[in-house]
Amino acid sequence: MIKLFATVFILTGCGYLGILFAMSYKKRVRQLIEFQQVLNLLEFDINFLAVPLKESFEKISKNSGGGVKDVIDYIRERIEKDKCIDMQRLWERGFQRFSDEIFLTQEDKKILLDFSKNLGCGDRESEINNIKITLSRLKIAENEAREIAKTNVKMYRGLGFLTGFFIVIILI
Amino acid sequence: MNTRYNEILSYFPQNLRRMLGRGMNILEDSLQEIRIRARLPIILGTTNGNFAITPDGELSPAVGGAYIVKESDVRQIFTAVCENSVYAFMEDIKQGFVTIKGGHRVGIAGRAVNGKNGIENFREISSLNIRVAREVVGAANYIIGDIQKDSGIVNTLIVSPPMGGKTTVLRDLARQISDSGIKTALADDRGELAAIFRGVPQNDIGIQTDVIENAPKSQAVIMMLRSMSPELIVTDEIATKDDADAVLKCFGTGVSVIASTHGKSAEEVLKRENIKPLFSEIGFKQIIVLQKEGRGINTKVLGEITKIRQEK
Repeated sequence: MIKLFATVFILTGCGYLGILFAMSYKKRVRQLIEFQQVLNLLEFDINFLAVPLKESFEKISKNSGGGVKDVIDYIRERIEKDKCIDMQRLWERGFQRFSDEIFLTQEDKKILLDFSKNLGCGDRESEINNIKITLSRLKIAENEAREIAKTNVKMYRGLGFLTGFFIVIILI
Repeated sequence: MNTRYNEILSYFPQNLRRMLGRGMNILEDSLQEIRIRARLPIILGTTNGNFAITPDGELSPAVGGAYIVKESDVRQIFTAVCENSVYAFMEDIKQGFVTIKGGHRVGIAGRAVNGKNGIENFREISSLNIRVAREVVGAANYIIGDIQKDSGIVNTLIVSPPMGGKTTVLRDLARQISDSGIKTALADDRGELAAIFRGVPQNDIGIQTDVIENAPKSQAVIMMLRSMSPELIVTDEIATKDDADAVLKCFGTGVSVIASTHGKSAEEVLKRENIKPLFSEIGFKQIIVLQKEGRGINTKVLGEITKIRQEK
């Protein structure tokens, strides 16, 4: 009876870990898409409404979820509290603060940090150019993330259960 | 410290904030402007003269040992003034200034980018000048009695040299008259009277006042006449022929007008080519030349009245 329980426990535990790993690849893709949406909304606000970032982020936050929302909310709050800030450092801190909920790689974050460096410093045209370049870089990252996810999701799911089996066989 | 200064300080980087905070604390109400120029000392313009500021926050009339502004300081302050959204303030930047919360105005100078329609942007910003808004409630107390009479508002031209308190007096006149229930329209082409920040006037301009800001007087006045049914139109600084024409259009419409212009004396103003036509039979009935008495917070603005025409 105990053996049966232990087997089930190990199998579900390892399987769950495998799924968790697999999910992080999927979540990276999802967050890359979400950040592209953020940039699209921002482009609309800058191009047609010319509202300050603070207001734009407030709107964007309502349309986002999870880690992306947390990072955007953090940046918005900081801008509201302190007008004189270093935008790039602020985004960096946002990513650090919510590192548990952000599934982007260092390269993905670098794309967004490069973007944040010039955010809010230029006229409409340069802001739009900055957004367009970032969007295309994020798209490339998204495609790459999809490819990696395709192979890795199945692999990690399978690997989780297999490791479980392996441990069970060795122990029994 | 004067609470209005906290608002201004929040636009500065941390290190400057501490330094300036100390200096401004000493200055109390006498601060008029803060001049920030790249690679030069910060100059605080006060009613008692100009002062440079040392890294310890001490004020000094000489520039030796003063804190030298870095290019990055100017950039950072400029971006902060634009609420980290320079693109949203392009229209203001083209005009050469941005109004911040509290009604303070930040003038911009540097290398301009010229386009089809004149200045489009500033590529490199070398200096900023923060003009501290001075809303003096009650500034018009000494002259209001000569303007608002039982028979109505007397068409009045307010005259003083630059920095003589015209705008401050005009704003307070608008406030007092508007609060007494008279529908007032402000044609505020440079945004100095109301200092609108995100749709809300930062200065108290009265409960019955409507403002059109940053539009040419000639257009704003006609728009107001047609759409807002004012009883009084207030406008600042008549200088060009277009400005005078705009005011001329108001006379005879049943709307009273209070305006201001630069000048030393009534005789001098009456000789000015653009202003002359404004004293026709239906035009301005009096000129009030402002005279300041006292300094700093104790300044009194008195007016010397020249009647063009006696009221019936």
